Amino acid sequence: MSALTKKVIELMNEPGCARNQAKPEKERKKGCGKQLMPGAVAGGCAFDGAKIALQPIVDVAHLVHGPIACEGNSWDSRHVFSSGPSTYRTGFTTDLGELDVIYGGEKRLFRAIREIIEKYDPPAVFVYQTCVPAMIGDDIDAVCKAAREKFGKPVIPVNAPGFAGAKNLGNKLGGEALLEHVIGTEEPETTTPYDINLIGEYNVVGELWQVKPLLDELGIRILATISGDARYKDIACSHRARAAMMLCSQALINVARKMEERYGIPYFEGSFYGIADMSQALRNIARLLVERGADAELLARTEALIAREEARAWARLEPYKGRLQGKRVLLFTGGVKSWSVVSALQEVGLTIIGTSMRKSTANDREKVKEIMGTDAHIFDELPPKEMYRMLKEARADVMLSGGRSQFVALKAKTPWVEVNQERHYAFAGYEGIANLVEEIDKALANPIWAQVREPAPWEKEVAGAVPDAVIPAKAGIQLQPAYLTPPGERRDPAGVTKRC
Amino acid sequence: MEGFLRLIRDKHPELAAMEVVFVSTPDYSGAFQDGWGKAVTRMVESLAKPSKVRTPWQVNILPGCHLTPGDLEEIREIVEAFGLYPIILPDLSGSLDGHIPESFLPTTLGGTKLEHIRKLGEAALTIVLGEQMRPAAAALEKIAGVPYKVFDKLTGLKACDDFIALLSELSENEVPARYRRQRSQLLDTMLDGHFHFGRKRVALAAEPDLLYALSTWFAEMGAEIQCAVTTTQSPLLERLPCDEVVLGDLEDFERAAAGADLLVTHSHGRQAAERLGVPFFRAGLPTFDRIGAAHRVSVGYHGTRDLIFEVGNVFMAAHRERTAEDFKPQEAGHAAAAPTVPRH
Repeated sequence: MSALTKKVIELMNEPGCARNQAKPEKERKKGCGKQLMPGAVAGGCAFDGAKIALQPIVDVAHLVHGPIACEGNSWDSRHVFSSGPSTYRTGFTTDLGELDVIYGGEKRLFRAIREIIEKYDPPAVFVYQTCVPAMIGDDIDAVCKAAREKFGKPVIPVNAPGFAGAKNLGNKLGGEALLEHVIGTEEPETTTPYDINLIGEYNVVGELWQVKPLLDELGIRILATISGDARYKDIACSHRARAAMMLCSQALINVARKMEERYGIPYFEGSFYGIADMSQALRNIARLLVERGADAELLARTEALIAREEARAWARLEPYKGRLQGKRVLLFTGGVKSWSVVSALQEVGLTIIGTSMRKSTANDREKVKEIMGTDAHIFDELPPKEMYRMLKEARADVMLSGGRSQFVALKAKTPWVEVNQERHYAFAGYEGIANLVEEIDKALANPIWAQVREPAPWEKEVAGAVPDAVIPAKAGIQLQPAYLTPPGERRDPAGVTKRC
Repeated sequence: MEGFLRLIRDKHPELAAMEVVFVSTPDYSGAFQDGWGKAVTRMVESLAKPSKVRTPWQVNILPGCHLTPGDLEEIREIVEAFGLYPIILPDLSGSLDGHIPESFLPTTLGGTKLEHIRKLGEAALTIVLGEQMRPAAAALEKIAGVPYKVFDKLTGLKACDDFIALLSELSENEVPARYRRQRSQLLDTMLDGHFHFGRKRVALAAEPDLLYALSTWFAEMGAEIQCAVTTTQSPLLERLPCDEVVLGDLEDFERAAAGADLLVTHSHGRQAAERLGVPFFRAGLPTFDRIGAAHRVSVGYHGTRDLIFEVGNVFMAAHRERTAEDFKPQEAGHAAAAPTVPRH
């Protein structure tokens, strides 16, 4: 049994995951990935998931070992931001060719690592396995080990070839690479009783920065974000945090759980989306820190900050309430943020007519059911054709989704707001919810919708545009369409050649 | 002046065949588009003849000065596609479209032929492009009874639909497949493009007809008009999608444009744009620091489509990734980076 297979089997048994534990053993072995349906919108592969989880580490080089498309097709499409180095945005790949497939790509990989270290000197190189080299048997663990010894620098193998499973599994495999090779390998210069980790926060379009000022104000230090705007050293030292918050549903639950087991760092699952969730997250962080020895006065300060920020946030949402009341939203987020977004949108009077739970956990589903009062509108699958029909029948006023279903909405002439990882606006925290509501309002209010839904002139009666007297037919004259008349024979009232 | 001209006529009967059109356009009165409108009105009054004949396929087009030679070429093609024959006055499309003549001529090439102008009165309909041309069309109606229809713009889906519908009804011909397809492309472009226009604040300075065409088109795409500065009075000013229009200059414009997402005016706006640090889109006369202005088409389905691309790309190019600084609290204890508060 290969190391990868062992790892995947291990991940299929996740004690931290209630849904996973609730399954019979046989079911559990099948994992939580679902067979892809031909014709349905497909999520990413395991490699994609691993890359998403780790690429936000901004100062390291992310080297993709594979043919060009694995890196090339997704290169620089995720808007995760850095406050410093931009090494993470350079697309490094071994660009395997046919000869490498025949003779093996290990030497090529080694040379690529050397080239990166010589040219860029990053604190670490992350090497991603992909389908083709995995199938021809390239041993990236061995190459990384050799490179580490040769160059004296961390070279981290990330063993998540696409075929290993779905994106969610890839997230976890990415997390495993950190647990195995990075976390706990360095020590922070100082520690405080107010140090936390944020696990599964990727700083998409700067969302981390919408939350960080609040934590700063409370004197809470983010020791490491795994992995948004992170430096390699942050993550290497992250085992010294006092508490952790797990975001993004359960993408990195294995990291949170194993860090609790290994280093005694308690964690809770929370979200920064929506006013209530944001407040709850702050409360939980403060509570865990106080339990771990921080001064209890932190709780009161946190409550005061929550009260102030909630008042501000509600005041900012106030102008939208009348306008958005009763507007119907179809939410198709692929799962990660469904329930927290649902409650946030209901806060301003929007009606959720449906939400997808394609990649969400049983927990998420329960939460949505609780918030919406019913699970009648929870879709497990919503094939594009069905989605198009729903929108075309005007069963929703606006759709919130990721880029993959953008054009389903647009072709159905329905307002659309981007809420997935490719989005351009930051929606986290007390500020973010106002941004999201502004985006929804902006989409709904755009005057193009009325225009593009108007039938073309030839699809409706257009009589009355000109006075009857000047219509040739009414004057008894039959015209010949110009496009049926050779240019040389076109009539010219003045009897001269038309063009000079 | 009229007296002098009569005197010359009397003294020189040998010049009787030479047409002379007199237009009173003193510098101190009116703006560029007023002069243009007056010149065309005077040409009509001086040259067009009453007519008992109606040529049902002849359509007069009176374009304002805000249209480019490229626009006129596009309009001619659209009109001809319906089997109609357009007489365009003035017609810059054959003269100021930057072609190379076979030999040197001191006078301008192309333009509208005198004999065509004389036959304006035979048309089925006059299509007026821009409010500035209304007096010219009214003059022709008075002389020859040709009815007219004013289009205050040909940019934007609704305006194009109305134009196409009129041509279709007038010619009793179906809309050619080419324009059906172009309309569909425009719809798609509006859908793709609206993301970049929604709630963008645009500052415009242009003559009334161009100002109206552009500002209403911006509003149709979801943008907001932060300020509008123009040169002369026009009934269109009442209908601009903004609270206030300033009859003013580039100084007024620069003051009102601070904080906008886009500046739109002719090439002389470039210094203001630079000082304000606001992206700049050139429109109107003069455009001397970019090539191809004469060929830019912003009328019809295709012209509107391309305009969305051009302006949308300016917005996209101006998009800046947010940094941690952008999210810093502006005042003690307050998180920052508030989006624009919607104004409704």
